[in-house]
Amino acid sequence: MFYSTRLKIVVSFLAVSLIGGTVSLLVGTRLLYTSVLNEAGMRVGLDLNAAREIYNNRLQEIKTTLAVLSQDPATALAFRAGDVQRIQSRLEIARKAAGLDFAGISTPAGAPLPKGEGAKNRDGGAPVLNPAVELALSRKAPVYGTVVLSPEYLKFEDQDLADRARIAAVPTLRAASREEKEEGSGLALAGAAPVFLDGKVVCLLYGGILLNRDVTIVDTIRDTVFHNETYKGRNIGTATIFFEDLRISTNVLTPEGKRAIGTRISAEVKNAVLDEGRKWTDRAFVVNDWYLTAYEPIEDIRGERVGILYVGVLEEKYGDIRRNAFTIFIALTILGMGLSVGLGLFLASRIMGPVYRLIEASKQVSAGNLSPPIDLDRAPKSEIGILQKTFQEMLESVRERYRRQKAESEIQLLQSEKQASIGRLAAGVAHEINNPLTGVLTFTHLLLRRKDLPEEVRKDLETVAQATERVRKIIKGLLDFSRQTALYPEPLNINNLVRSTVALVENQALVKGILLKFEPGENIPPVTADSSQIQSVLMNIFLNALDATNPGGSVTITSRLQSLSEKAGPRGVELTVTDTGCGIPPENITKLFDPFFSTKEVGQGTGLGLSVSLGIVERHGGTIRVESEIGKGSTFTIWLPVEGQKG
Amino acid sequence: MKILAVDDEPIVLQCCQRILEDQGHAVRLVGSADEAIAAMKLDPFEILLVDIKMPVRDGIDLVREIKEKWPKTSILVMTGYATSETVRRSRIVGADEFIAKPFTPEELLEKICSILSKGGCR
Repeated sequence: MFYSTRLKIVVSFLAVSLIGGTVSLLVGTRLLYTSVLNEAGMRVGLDLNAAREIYNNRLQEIKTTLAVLSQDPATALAFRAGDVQRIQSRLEIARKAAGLDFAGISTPAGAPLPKGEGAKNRDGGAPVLNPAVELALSRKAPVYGTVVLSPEYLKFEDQDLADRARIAAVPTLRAASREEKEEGSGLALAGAAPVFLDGKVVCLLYGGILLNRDVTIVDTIRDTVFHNETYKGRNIGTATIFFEDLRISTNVLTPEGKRAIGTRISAEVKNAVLDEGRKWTDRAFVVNDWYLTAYEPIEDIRGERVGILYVGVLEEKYGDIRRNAFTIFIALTILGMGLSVGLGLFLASRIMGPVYRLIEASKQVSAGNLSPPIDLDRAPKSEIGILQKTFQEMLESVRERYRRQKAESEIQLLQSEKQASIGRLAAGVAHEINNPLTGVLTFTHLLLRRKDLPEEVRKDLETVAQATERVRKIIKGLLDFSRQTALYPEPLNINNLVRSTVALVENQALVKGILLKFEPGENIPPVTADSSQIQSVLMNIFLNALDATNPGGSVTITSRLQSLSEKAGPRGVELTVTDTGCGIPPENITKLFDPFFSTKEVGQGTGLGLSVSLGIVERHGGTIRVESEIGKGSTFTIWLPVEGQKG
Repeated sequence: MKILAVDDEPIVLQCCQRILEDQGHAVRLVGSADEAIAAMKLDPFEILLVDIKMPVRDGIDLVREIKEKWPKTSILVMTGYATSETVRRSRIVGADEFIAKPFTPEELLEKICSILSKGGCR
């Protein structure tokens, strides 16, 4: 099958761009994704720090609120004056202002005072303790931090809080299972500040925020850190506060769109962060999606790990980055392929253009047109250009040779025409001369017949006659020459030539029922002769012999090395052709080599054969003679001189 | 015998006349084919000597006509330029003998004899 170069070039370009594109696509997207994830991971780590700051800020608000009030001398004085109400109302105002979930005054013993009229009053029984208060009391210094509040305490402070704190654990994938199905305790940011009077703690002011189901902190984180960015309707950034492994405050949403309160953290993360106290950054499956997440432990005021702070970034966004990158890469690859096909075609036509022109030119040349009308001049500077140049040079040399050959053959033609015209001229002249020559010859002979010539006159006339004979011979020679074909002599093996000629007439002999045999002589050296002309002589004589012989007869051919005359003379080959035909009448033998002599019917033979044969043999320096007997047959003897010999 | 010689070359005609009259033949000479026909019409000859190469009408044509009209006539064709083609053409139109110019008296007489006896002479 023919695969055009253009196709090969285009396919190569395509393959390169395809391979290149695919490799860079795979490698590139992978690298891109990995680095993007790394960046995101780092970012998440930073986001966690920011979240922690926001968490602490909230604590700071509590601190500020309580600090102001507790350190205000008016508070202490009011207490000494027994005006608890006043303190309580001021505290209440501050609480609302700061957005605290609870606030109160506690005795130096640590027991929280009742809230006011109508509030439940707990006298007696075990005091419900606020850990912050406890710690502040023991340290006699303000305490702020994360605390765990018991359900009873919460109930004491506010029934709503207790309700809020109640979170049912929802079964989640990958979470560590826990026995309790419901949580009642609450995680809170709390602070307690003692009020001093004369150096003694007269009471404590406390307040705090319940983190369970709180939305402010996590949403602030989301808004501040993540700028409330959304991706396909979901928030990119999420934050969660865990109480132990339970999600108590979060903006991670369930598939239904609700905050995923009550879901649990995966066991793996719990182990690392809560149990071992490590920070955790990784992609993690949170509730329903994959997030790039960061976790760190939340310690309470006593330094125990009680919860986990989490921020997470929706991985999908980055997944989409990867998908987009992938798409762009594919698009680029396809574009690249398109470009490469275009480039390939262009290049192919640039390269192949000259080649096609060359092919076209070659076709024209083989069709015979040595000057193809195709512009081969715009040769590129490359191997193709060299090919073109070489082609043109070759063409030029072919044309040159053609021209030379034509010139030579024209010269030859001219020469042969000249020869022919000379021949014609000679023939014409000879022909013309023959007429007056007839006159000279005739009258000289007629004169010689006279009986009354003086001796000297007779002698002179004979001289004239001889001279005229010579002229006749010259003219005849000239005519023969102008008629003859050129002689191309070469060393000839006579036996081989006879054999091949016999082969040519074998069939005729067979058909006529004549026995044809050749008895070659041995050790016959080569004869210098024109093989085709000698062959025509042989043919002539063989055919004559066959014609003369009747069916049942035979024609025998022999060859032998022989001198011209029996003992002496130059060496040559003697060929005899003997037939058992009817023989030749004596009166015809002399006329045999007469150009017009023929015993055949009109139209059968030309009568010229033997005279031409004689001419050929004589031109080779040889002879032909005939012997014949009526009724017995005839023998033609051809003698040709051997190489180097002359007849 | 009555012999008619046809040749556009006078010297040749003269030769024929001298040679043949010496032998006792009656020779008439004409210079062209048309004259030959005219002569034949007047008084048919037994032997004709015809030169092949003649202007206007060549010898071959004349031989053909003579042989058509006077089949018993014997014709000797003369030619100054013998080729196989000439010979062939002559034979085809029915010439009896050929002779190449230049010829000696002896040669001509021999040919005439051969015509007359249609076979061996001497």
